[in-house]
Amino acid sequence: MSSQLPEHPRKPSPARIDFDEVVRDQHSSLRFFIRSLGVNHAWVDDLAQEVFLVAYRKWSDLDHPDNARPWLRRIARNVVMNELSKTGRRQRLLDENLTSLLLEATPVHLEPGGLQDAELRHEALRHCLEKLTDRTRKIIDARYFRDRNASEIGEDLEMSAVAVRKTLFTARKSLAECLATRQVREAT
Amino acid sequence: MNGSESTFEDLCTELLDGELDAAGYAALLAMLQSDPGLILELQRHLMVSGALCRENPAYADDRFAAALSTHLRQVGDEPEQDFPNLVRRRIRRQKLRKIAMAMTACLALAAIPLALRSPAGTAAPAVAVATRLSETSGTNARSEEIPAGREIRLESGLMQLEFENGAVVAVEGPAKFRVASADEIELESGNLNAWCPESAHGFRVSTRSATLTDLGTTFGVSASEAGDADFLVLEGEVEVSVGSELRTLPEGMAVRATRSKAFEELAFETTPFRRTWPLTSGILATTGEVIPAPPDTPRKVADYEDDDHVIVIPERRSFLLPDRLAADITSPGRYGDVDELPLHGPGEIAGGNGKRARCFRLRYNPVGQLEYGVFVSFEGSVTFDRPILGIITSARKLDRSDRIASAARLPNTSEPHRMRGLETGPLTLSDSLALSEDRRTITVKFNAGESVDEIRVITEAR
Repeated sequence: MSSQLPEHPRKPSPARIDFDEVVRDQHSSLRFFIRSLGVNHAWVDDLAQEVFLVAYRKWSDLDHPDNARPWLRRIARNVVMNELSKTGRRQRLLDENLTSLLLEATPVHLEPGGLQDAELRHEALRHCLEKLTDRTRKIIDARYFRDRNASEIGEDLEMSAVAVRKTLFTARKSLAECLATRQVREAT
Repeated sequence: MNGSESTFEDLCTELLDGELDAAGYAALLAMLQSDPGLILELQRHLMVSGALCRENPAYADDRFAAALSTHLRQVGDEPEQDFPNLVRRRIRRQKLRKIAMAMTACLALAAIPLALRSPAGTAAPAVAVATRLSETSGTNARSEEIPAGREIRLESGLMQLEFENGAVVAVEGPAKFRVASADEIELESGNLNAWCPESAHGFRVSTRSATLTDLGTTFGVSASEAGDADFLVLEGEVEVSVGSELRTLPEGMAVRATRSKAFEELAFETTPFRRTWPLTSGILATTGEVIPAPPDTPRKVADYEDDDHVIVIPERRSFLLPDRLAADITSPGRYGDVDELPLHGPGEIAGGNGKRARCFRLRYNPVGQLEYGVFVSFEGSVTFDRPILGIITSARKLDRSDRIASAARLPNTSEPHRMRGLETGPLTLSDSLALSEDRRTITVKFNAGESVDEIRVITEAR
């Protein structure tokens, strides 16, 4: 429920307009960044929320809103690293060793135009999905919109679970390439 | 594709399916450590699968941004020590409670001989039925009877409570609350929505800072861990009391009760109740491009426009069915497409003898109007918490049923008949729908043109 931000006696609140703009502009790419660090899908939004809460409280540390993306990613890395040290909360990660490896391999400054820098916008994804075959789209639909696993989809479509997994793997790969191509095209 | 790539494929997909075992994790890690190129590949899969999951309305971007903004407003300005202090206070309280429980246990032991002489005790009677909904699909519900005094901690997901007096409460996790009695909930933290029919007037929601008493209404309460509570009225009115101060809140108003026992004015912002309101309204789940209307007053919900979705609009919650109400579809099946049953038919819903029903509209109503000849397709489904008695798809029957079914003045009833309902015939792209065998789910495909695609769904009432 929104209300006027209350005055804080110790520290001024962030300029609301600037902060809201940063949330609006950055939340999507930040959530993909968190996901790419091996965070369980169900917990991505919770961690993103924690990142924005830290950012809200440390707003005065940000030199300029234009630098918000790498700054938020640094906070996100720290939040994810904190998850590694909290035994009871490791369920938020797919696997702690995997996340450690991904953290190590992921720079805060990502190459512009790369998939990791993309915001994976809804329209672009829709466009790329249309390029897949009907059968592949059916499998994607069952997996991501109906929460069916590979074995269940296999039973529905008279395929083996292995074939379903291969199709999903290839489809995600094609989508990643299509999205990266669109990203480059939009940038030029 | 060589063998090593093939193994990576399997491991990667099993990882994303949540089916990778310990040996699989070890194999995947070894593979990633030996080939850094695969790390990038894995990240691509993680991001694309995240993007696909995000296409599911339950994880949509706007939902996240709205929830985040609310959360930050509530928590962001708290001094950082507030939460640790709260925890310390709680630990102290728990210690005191344990001492008190030990003393109570001693007294109880002493009282056993007396109890044995009194009539046999019975378990506390159930005052409500709680239904837990699956996090992902909103269906696959599990129900349980709840006695007075039961404390519930809902970590995530949604729970619907149907009280014996007819009140319906939907709670969104994380939340902590206690079903205090047949007509009271104590909400320690979390969001809830409630609808109270006439039989449940006087229903109360107590928080640490204030108590709400229903005066015939639909309302929302949002209680923070820190002790503040926000109250909002979607329909009717409520009374909120803080200490000796009492306020009557009418429809469309909101107020905050602070932990220092004072009222603060609040903007009427319904976002925190986006997930609970559909549930108190009888909508269990939606898929695809069919979504529930956002919570608001009945008038605003009836006028709601959306370019990208078919909206499910709750109408009258309980109305007396006439002896015969004309409908187009009254049996499970598929309608509208080639080789399917016709969308418009001579059906009737039998009423009379005080039989009551409830109403919803499914409507594609864009901002403005689509150009002539332009068609937009929408697909999706909605599942209700009660069986569907009938569906109205034709313009005239929609017009005729407006008076008894609509919860507010409708914006488009003055338009020509042909501009409502679903299209059929060779000159238009035909709409289609399916009614499931259990009569609770409707799957639609609307091909919307310049007219308003709209159907009315009549379900059983509570």
